[in-house]
Amino acid sequence: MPETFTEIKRTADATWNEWVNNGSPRIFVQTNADSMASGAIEVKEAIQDTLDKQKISADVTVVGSQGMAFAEVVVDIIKPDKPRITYGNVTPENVPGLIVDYIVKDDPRPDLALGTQGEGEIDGIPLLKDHPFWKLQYPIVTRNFGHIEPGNLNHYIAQGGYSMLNRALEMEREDVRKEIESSVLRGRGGALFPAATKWNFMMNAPHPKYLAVNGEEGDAGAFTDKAIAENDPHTLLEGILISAYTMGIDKSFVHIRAEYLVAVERLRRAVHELEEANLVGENILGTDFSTEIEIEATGHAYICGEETALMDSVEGKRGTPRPRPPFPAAYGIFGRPTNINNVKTLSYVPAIFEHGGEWFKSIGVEAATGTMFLSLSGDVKHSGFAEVPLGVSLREVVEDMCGGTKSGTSFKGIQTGGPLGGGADWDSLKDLPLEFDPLNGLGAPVGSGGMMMLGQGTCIVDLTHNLMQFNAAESCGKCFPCRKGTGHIVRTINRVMTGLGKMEDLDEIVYMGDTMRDGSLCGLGQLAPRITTAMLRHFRSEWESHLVDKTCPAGVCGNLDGQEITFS
Amino acid sequence: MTTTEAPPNMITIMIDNQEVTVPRGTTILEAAKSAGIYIPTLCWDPKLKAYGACRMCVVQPEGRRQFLASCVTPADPVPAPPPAERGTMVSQSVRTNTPEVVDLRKGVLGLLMSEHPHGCLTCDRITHCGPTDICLRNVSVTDRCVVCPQNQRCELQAVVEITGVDESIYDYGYRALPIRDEDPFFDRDYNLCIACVRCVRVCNEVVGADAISMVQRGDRVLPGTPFDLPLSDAASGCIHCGACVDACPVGALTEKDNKWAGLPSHTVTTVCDQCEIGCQLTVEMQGEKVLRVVPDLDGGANGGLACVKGKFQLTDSTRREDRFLVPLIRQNTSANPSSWDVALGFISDALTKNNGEKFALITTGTSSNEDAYLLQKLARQVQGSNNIDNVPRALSPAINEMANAVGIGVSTNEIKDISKSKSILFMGADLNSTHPVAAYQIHKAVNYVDADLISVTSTTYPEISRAATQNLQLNNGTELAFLRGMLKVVFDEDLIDQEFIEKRVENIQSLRESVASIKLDVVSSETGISVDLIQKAARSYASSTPSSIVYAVDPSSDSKGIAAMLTNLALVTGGVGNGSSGVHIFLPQGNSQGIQDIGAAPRDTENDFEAILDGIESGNITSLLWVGDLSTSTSFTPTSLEDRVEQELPDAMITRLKNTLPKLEFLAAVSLAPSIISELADVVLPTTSFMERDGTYTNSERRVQRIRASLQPAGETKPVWEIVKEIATNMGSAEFDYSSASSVFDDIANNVETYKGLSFERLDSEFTGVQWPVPDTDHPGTPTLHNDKFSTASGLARVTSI
Ligand SMILES: Cc1cc2nc3c(=O)[nH]c(=O)nc-3n(C[C@H](O)[C@H](O)[C@H](O)COP(=O)(O)O)c2cc1C
Ligand code: SF4
Ligand code: SF4
Ligand code: SF4
Ligand code: FES
Repeated sequence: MPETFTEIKRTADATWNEWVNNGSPRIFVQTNADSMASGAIEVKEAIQDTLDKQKISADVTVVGSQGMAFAEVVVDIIKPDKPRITYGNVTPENVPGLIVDYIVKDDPRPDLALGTQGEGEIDGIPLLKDHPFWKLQYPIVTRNFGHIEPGNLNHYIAQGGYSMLNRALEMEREDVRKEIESSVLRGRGGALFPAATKWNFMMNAPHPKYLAVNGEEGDAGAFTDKAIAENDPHTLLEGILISAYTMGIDKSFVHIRAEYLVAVERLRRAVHELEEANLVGENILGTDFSTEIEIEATGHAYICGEETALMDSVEGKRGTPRPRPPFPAAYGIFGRPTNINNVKTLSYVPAIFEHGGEWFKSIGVEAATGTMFLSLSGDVKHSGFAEVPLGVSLREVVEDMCGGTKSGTSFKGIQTGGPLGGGADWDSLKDLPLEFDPLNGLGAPVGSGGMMMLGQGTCIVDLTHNLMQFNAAESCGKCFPCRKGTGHIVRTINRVMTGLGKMEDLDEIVYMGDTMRDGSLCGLGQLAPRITTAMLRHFRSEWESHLVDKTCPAGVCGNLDGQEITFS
Repeated sequence: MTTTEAPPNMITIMIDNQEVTVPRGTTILEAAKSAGIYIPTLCWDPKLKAYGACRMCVVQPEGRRQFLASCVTPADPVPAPPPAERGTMVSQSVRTNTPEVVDLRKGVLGLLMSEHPHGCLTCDRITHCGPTDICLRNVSVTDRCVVCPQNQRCELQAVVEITGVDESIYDYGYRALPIRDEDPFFDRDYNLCIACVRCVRVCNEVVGADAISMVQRGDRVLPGTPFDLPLSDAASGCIHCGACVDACPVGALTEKDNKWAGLPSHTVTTVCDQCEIGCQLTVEMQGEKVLRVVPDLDGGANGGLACVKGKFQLTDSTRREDRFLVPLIRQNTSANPSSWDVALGFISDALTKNNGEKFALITTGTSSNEDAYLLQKLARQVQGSNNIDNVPRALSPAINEMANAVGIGVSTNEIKDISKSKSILFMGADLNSTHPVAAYQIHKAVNYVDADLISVTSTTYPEISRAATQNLQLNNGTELAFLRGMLKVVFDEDLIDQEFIEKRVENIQSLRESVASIKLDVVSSETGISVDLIQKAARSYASSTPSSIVYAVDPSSDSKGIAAMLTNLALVTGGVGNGSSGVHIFLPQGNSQGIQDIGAAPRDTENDFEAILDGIESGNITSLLWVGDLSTSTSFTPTSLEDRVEQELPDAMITRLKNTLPKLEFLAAVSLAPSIISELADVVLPTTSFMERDGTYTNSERRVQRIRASLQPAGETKPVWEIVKEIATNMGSAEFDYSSASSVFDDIANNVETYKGLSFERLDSEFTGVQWPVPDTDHPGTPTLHNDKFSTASGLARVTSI
């Protein structure tokens, strides 16, 4: 007899309470692949070392990252009956001092602190939620980040996890779908297709049917899917299970890049725990619903994020897009009906189901409900990831949350939505809200939430060249317009950058772009020209100075002496 | 734009304002083709799944700025746009030639020309220059039309011309890759490749060799071999069938032979004689020279496919240096050239002396139907002897065993039915080298319809074993035991088709009883296959529809009883006489089937091959006419490219012949080249190769097809039928007044019931051949046998007891 959910929950709560109330100080090291690169492991070792040396009894736990990449490594200390203090820029060198000062000498070291979290205050340390990086944020998919041990099933359940799955299993499948439908959750993989509408195609499809979970995240400058998988894999898995129940999925394939080592490992561990607890597999929680989840660590290829290429990839083939029709819901993985959703899209599902579609709608704006999980990079003080309600002003996001440029120059613009997105100049953007349609109209689509802020040090031609080069390298080479067009645009821009260009080159870029947009088989080729179109539209003068004055205003392209640069 | 009435499962689409009605699921491209509307294509290949890569085939929905790749877009009705109610469907209406469409095509071609040498596409002299002219213009060496082996046969050239592109709009870069010329039959010059993936698709999808694949991505993508090995390396998996060469639209893949010879002066359509598939081939000729061989898309049995034997080795036998070119008469130990007159006189005398039951005739499966007909006529009418048999029949108990059960011993279905099967039971010889195109059909079934392929063999055949979903490797010589085991499972688990049996099968009770005593664990220890696997195989075959049994008779092993057991399996499970389910039997040698049909076979075991040899030994038979060559089938192994393996008759039979034939008073051989028979013969008459003669062959699926001469007869060689006519006439018969192969065939049609409705005229106009029985001239032929009743006297099939 499998355990009932109540029993599972009781155990989880007990474990959690024991951990929280064990009477000794607790130290969190916010650990994901990025902070590990900044030395999180070394910091953790230094902490342990200090504790041993000083003979202090304290609990050291790896928790997920809260996204403050700008303040890596982030460590939290919670002393019994005190609020949690979050410290930034912690290093193996400064951590022994911090431990001794705060835990032994009771000096909270405001100089290292970013802020406190939770109830209560500590003199001299602000509340973290008042930090400019946090003011705008509204954590939904990120709600557990930094609060629990990633992939620890008991932790997740103690936070209320899987009770939504438990509730869904008692409901009619269609009612679950309707709840999600009422939230108007749109796909976060970039195409913004309403999730529940897509599920509708699957409801009556014959078995076996599959769910492909898209965590390829090949875009340069996007790291939010990785963040979810690393910092709270169970939110994703619960989302998958509720969706799987709704659509009657027999098996879900979580397609995630193999280089996301931490993400893959934490997901695998989480799935393993689910299997042990009978939350996945045969007759989940004693119901007659059975479903499987497989974590597929795949070789990196941007194109394998395209839904049909992903399906080929899952089948073990060379990942190239398939023509549509037939659509995945009719003929997907191994020819079976398949639904495909982005990691973020599915991760919203438990929360929406818990609080209701109306709640989700109330967070964003009418045309764009809920939050957007942004990857913030480029010339900004506060880079990292952050979850903000849709509809907030871009000025707030860029100037306040991101804290202005790192270089100290003024903003030039934003490159949005990754290499297949677009961008615009700061003047056109600054008074707009973070919303789908207005940004789209400007040629700067939100896409899957990647935003690269550009300071005056960025040369637009050089940036466009880079992004196009990415597209050319990632084109699968199947269809002729994209295979040849991406590379050719790169070569043409190269001419502009090296002083060999003519004004007609810009027309050539546009004409090639049109051929690609109209003629390409999949989104890569169709959307790749968006970046050139947008950059030509908003920054034409910069292109012209390269061509006419033979100068690069940002000083990036060298002396434009006509020496061709060879790019590998 | 509303839905027009069309018969169920038919839909209509407007293409360029023309209403086209096609079956649901047809693509826009196919619909346009059916209406004679041209849409350019580059990656589309009728043999392959549509791929949608080149985007040349774009069309535009009426009134919208949208582009559809017509090769992958169904012509089916689409949801009506708002304000129409949801769920309303309307017919599509598309334009194939709007300015936008043409502009898009030009844009793509422009990009393509930035990588493809295009002197041949844009040089203003292209209309003036002949293929062998010296290039006068400033076209760089690598770009000249004259250096492309495909010049004027190139699909890209055609598309560029029709689309109206006359200049290259973008910078051009030559890839400067080395030409890969290390393979035996064709060269690969990827400087000319447009990455349409047709070669890779045909190799993987249809042939199943998986020897090439696309490598790299973006604009570096090109076809490649494993580890960049030459295709002649056995590890590459290449079987040198040349399907990639035939698929390539440009000059990237070209046959080595006559590479730059240019365009053919004329073509001859004929049928490959190398195996019982009978692939229809177009032989491209330049005067008296064979330029290249291209499998014919219209070929009824092959649909555009062939194997290395047909594609690259068709002329090998014709070009043999040891061919007989004049008649030879043996005096003491040496064979001396003679004139036809002398040789014919010599034979006539000998045959007249040794006539009646003292005479015997044996032919191989290389004789055409016309040859076979006159041979049996000579034996029966002129010589008054019934001692006539043929080699394939002697090697294949299958023919008789199957005839005993269902009335005639021949494959029941079309070869292409194999590709539709959900379950295939394969046994016998290595199909990939004996009957390759049938092996492709098996591969297609596995690839396209997820067929369960149960391969039951005691040798490993690389391709079939790899494709097999159940690869059962038996202990040597236990095939029959295994099949009995399968029958046992079928009866025990009640997998039989009771309804079918009741209506159409007799003797079932005795089979059931004889099966009862079989013990599966005994079968398992004998065959080395676990009981589970025997059961799994039986369940898969018995419960899938359609299903196929594919059996290639292997002359080198004892195959007695196998065909009987296979037919049993099909009969008890309803796997025959039942739509696309059937039993496919492949015999060695190209016209094995035809010579049976025509009657170059004994009417009785008293006169069969064994009896003839016995008769010679006992001295009752004193003269023998042996017609044809000995190799049972030429088979090809990629590992031994140089010495193409010729499978001679089984050793035991060779020894027997060597011991027996010298006892004859007179042995005449009609032969292409030396063999153990011609070495013993008193007279050798030289015959034409199949490239040098006209006639008909009948393939394994009973398809009667025309072979047509592409070459003049070598030396003084003559076709067999003509030789026989001259012998008979010389002996005084007035019944052999035939002027051509065609007139012989008319006689066949008069006398052979199943060929009644056929003539050369009909076979020439129905280019794909016709499958017998063809009872009259209006009858379309019979692709599937036994559909309503079996061909036995009672109309019921009779299972064979064990
Ligand atoms: C070239 C290309 C790359 C893509 N990469 C991703 C990706 O990495 N992750 C993703 O979720 N969607 C990606 N997409 C979008 C997917 O095709 C698909 O729309 C999405 O996964 C659907 O999920 P959603 O409806 O939840 O957004 C890509 C699309 C294209 C054309
Ligand atoms: S558009 Fe590009 S990525 Fe997409 S199928 Fe074509 S070549 Fe491949
Ligand atoms: S070699 Fe020929 S068939 Fe193969 S991809 Fe290149 S152009 Fe196409
Ligand atoms: S499969 Fe048979 S008939 Fe066809 S080309 Fe090969 S040998 Fe000739
Ligand atoms: S023929 Fe349709 S895309 Fe190539």
